[in-house]
Amino acid sequence: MQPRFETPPKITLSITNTCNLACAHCYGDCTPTPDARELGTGEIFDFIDYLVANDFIQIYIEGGEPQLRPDFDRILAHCARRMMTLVRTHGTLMTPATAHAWKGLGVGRVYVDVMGACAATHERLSGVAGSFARSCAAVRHLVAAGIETDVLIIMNRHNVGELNDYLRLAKSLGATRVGILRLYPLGRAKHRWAELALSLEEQDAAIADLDPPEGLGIMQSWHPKDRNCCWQAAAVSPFGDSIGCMYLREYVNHGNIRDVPFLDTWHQAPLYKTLRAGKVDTTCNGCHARSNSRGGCRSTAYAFHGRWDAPDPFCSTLNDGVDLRVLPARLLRKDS
Amino acid sequence: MFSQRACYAKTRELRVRPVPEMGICFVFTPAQPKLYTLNASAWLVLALCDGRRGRRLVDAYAGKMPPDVTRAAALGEVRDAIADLERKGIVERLAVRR
Repeated sequence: MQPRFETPPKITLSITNTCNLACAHCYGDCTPTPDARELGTGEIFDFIDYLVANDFIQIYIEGGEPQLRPDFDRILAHCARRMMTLVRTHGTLMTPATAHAWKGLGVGRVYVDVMGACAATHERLSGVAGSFARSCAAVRHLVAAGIETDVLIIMNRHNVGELNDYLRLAKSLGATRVGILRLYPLGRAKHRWAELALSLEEQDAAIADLDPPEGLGIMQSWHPKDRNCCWQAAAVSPFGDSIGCMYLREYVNHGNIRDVPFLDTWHQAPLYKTLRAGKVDTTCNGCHARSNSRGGCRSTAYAFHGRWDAPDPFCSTLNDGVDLRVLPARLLRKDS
Repeated sequence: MFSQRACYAKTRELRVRPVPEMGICFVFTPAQPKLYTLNASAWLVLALCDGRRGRRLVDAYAGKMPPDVTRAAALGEVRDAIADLERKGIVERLAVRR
């Protein structure tokens, strides 16, 4: 049976599309300066109060780079003792003092984007010299401050050959786990798809070849771990749009929290309800057995097939001959 | 170690999010920021930790179980659950006045 929540206990909140890196694969098409349409401090505080009042118990904050918001520590102070608070950052602005401040505020876990096992790879992707050393230092500062810290890498053509070196780097930095993420055709990534994307066979081989150091956890979502997470998904963009999942940001908008309470979008938006229902053409029994959900990731299923009930081609059982190195032309049209 | 004479209560500032539709309960412990998922059995023990003594806790737990669950079995389940909840900082032992 498809798992379900009456109301979601966890949510992702992207608080900015501002970033001081220029990543080749940036899903948010981030810019160096803030967009005036982003939620203001008061709106974010009100939304956090709303989440607490409605029994949310975990918030995952990401960007852009959250630390570029001048009010970020106040945002953390407003939520971290009331909900389990997770933060995703590339860490280039992290200092030992900041890490200790976050620990004091009650931040539960931090995810740091480190894009390769060496400076050359990381900075080829991030577009900023010196960013590798700063991101690695951030992991060390956070671990030294006593915050559990994971590192995240989006697997692509530039870093796939150094994943085991990456695992050793992560261990040496003190990370608890490594998240190896698939490349999504969003933002700048879709415009550089031919340069970045790997075939499914290359991806599966890289996952099969992983040899993590003892004690290091691995998170990944390839077969048989390709979950359809939509049943529990809740996310809000920097502009206040309820989008279910950050990986659906270009495809859905269930309503804006400036106009309608978030839970009204959960209960009433037709597409939101459809996605949570888990109705798909076909499913992979192996992946289904791991998570009870059906059909794999809906974002990549929709990207490659244009249908919400399509199979996810990132699962080897469901791929059915789709070449993941080639994007459907409709994704690259200006209005897509 | 679980004691039937000791009193047990939820720790302060705990946040509890029941999810009855899935038979689980999320618990957030701000003092050591962690999010835990409790199964129905641990969730029931937590709900009963309102300052009562261990002996009454076992009685109440057994009273919620099917008739074929013996008190000895209920005691075992409560003892294991309390040990786990104490270790996670979800439940604490109260000082008992003599």
